[in-house]
Amino acid sequence: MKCRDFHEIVDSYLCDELLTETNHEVLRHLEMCADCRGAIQSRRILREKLKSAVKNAGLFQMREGFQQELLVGLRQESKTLVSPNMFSSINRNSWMAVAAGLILTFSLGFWFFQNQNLNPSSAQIAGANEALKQVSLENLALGDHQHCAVKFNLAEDPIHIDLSSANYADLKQSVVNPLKNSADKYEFLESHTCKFQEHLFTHIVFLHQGKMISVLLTDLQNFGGLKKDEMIKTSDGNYQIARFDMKNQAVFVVSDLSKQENSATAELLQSSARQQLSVVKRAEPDSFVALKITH
Amino acid sequence: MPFSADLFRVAMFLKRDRDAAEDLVQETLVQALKSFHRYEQGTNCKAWLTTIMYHTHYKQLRKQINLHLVADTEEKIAGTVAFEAPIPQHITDEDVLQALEKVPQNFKEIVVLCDVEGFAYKEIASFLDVPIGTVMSRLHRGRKILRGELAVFARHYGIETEDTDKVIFKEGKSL
Repeated sequence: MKCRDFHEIVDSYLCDELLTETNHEVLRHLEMCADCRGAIQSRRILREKLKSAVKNAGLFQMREGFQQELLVGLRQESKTLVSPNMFSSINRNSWMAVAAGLILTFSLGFWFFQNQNLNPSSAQIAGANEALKQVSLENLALGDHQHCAVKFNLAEDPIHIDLSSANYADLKQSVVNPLKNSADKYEFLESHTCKFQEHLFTHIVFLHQGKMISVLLTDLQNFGGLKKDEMIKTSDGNYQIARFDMKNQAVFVVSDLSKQENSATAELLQSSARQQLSVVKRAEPDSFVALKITH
Repeated sequence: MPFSADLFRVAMFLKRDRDAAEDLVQETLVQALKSFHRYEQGTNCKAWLTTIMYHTHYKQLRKQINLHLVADTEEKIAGTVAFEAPIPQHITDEDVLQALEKVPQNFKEIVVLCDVEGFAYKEIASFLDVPIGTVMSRLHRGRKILRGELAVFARHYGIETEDTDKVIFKEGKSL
């Protein structure tokens, strides 16, 4: 290969658009030619500079609030659309959820009576009921992720977190901050409160490794809490669900990332929640404790 | 919204107007929502959305009475560029953007799609509905013009260029 030939194809080489044999010829030429090594470095610099210049230019940045407007517009649009495929997919998911619930109920019942010689104690019955409640709570979180973050198809429109109560905004910060400060890249997309099957969630959506990841928080009232530092990890085949508890809230991380990646996000949040709790405990003034005792 | 920032950048290059670009992004996502069942999971979602954006853009163009046709002169101008410029290490983003602005739209669009957005030649050919060879030749010319424009900045930074691929620095080093 001559220098002139090299200059004709150097950009295609950088774009990885050449055949393997031609790539080898380019590499052989580069080994021998210092001028062309300089030229390819110059092209690389130009590409990097062009990319960063365009991506950082204010002219090409979306204005604040446009994302939110897009989401609202798409949600309104999605209500008018019921494509046959979408409909069948919802049906399929619903049927899968019902089937999974039935299998789980029978499995738990079978295990329960097998192990208790058909004579379960009341505490064991309560335990089994709690397990079923938790399973259904996880299904609700999964359903919310699928219908809210992915399909934008809920019975009630979500309410933007800034328009909800201050408590929800605080919850949002406790989730957004640790992920924002993490070494892995989490792009915050939006936060709101939404209802799935009449169950209220604080819903924060991120983009991580090109996939949507939902962090859903819900009040533990009427539901059994997990043990301290416990984490549940389940999957419905397509989606991964991780759950841990934070104060009075159950926290779910739902995505179609790999189990390992989904769990890593949940562990990051759990560890941050643990640290926040210890800071709050240390900072609690004695007078406040005394006040609580007198009450 | 995933990819909305990428779509907006491409829309800005197509429309050169913020409001028109926002409308194009919105229309693209609505169209994508309507035809979501056609999207094949596991394929490049950004490329799929960009294809929809181009279709929507062309549809809007067809509706306009004063349809902007790409002048042949742009190709002729591109053909006359004779030299290659070095890229000064300390060139600023503004210099690069100014140089890019001087590249004819027909070529600039492809340079951005390939070098900024990272699409493959085949994907770009599909967006623009042109043969892959056209993409390659326009890309080649577009990059050459860009390097030519940057030569102006190179001189400004004290680097001399020749009408060949070889570049001589004042200190005597060659690149």
